[in-house]
Amino acid sequence: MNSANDGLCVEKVHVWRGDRHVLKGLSFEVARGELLHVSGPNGVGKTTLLRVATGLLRPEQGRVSWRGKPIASAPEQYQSELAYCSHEPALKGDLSALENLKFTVRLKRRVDDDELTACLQRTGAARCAELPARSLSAGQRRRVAMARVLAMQAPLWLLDEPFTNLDASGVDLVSGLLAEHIERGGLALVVAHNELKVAGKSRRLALQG
Amino acid sequence: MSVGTAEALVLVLRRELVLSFRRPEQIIQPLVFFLIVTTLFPLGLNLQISLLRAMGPGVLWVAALLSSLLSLDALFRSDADDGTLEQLALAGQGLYVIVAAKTLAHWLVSGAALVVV
Repeated sequence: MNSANDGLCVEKVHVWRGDRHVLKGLSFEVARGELLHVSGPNGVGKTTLLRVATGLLRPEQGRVSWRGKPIASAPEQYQSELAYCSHEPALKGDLSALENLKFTVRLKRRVDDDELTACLQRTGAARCAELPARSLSAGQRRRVAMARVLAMQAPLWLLDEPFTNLDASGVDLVSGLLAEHIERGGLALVVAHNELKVAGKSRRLALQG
Repeated sequence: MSVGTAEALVLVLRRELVLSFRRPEQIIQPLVFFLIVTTLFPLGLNLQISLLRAMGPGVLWVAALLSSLLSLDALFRSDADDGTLEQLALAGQGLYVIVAAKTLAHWLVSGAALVVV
């Protein structure tokens, strides 16, 4: 099976934000067991690209397909197979870390508290489970967001700056999780400024303004 | 093990109710506003009883409408600001489920409370 039918395929995508032509006919593919590292200067359209890949933003021209089908043809099916982590951790301050996970992951799959706690433990955020997200540090919030990605057990990971605010051990942890994910046959599209030290098959896409 | 629509609706509804009760001021503020408007109106105008009786329902409706505007802002804005709305939108459940659950929860904590008052 070729990669176009088995993974994520972005074809000649054009996006304008107002008068600005942000993405100019961008094309790439991410196959199973592969990581694509998107880099580039601020404002070049990395986050826009990621939002196009999630389906949250529709490109003016071009097409995004998943397993050979355009994502617009069955958006809910596609979304149930992806885990997205935006550059803000997307946690409700009034909910505890565990509640934050419950109320998002359980919309995708049936999962019990123990499994969610295990995911928090895996990302080093077990101590935060019962604390309101508002009281967590930026790094801890990032770890909780990563636990959510893990708990979704989605084949496609779309991560926007997943290393922001993390300490050295956190960076190693996320790199390790990414390596494991692609080794299991998962796909990852990662927007990051710094060099990625992820074992396994990875490519780099440098966007230019 | 995908999650059904009804299950998703209940989950989002629970989320909204938990969030509302963690911020009780968001429920109380419109109610207090409603009470203030409806009590100050006759005091300020010093009208006759018969006239007040005729105007009463209209004043109640307008006060209810204005007080519901106070809580309307919280319906989607806070989720949009902190990025959780994107997570809900990408839950693979369809936006109508999310919007229906959020609107119902909003009505339960603002509309229904107003009706009771």
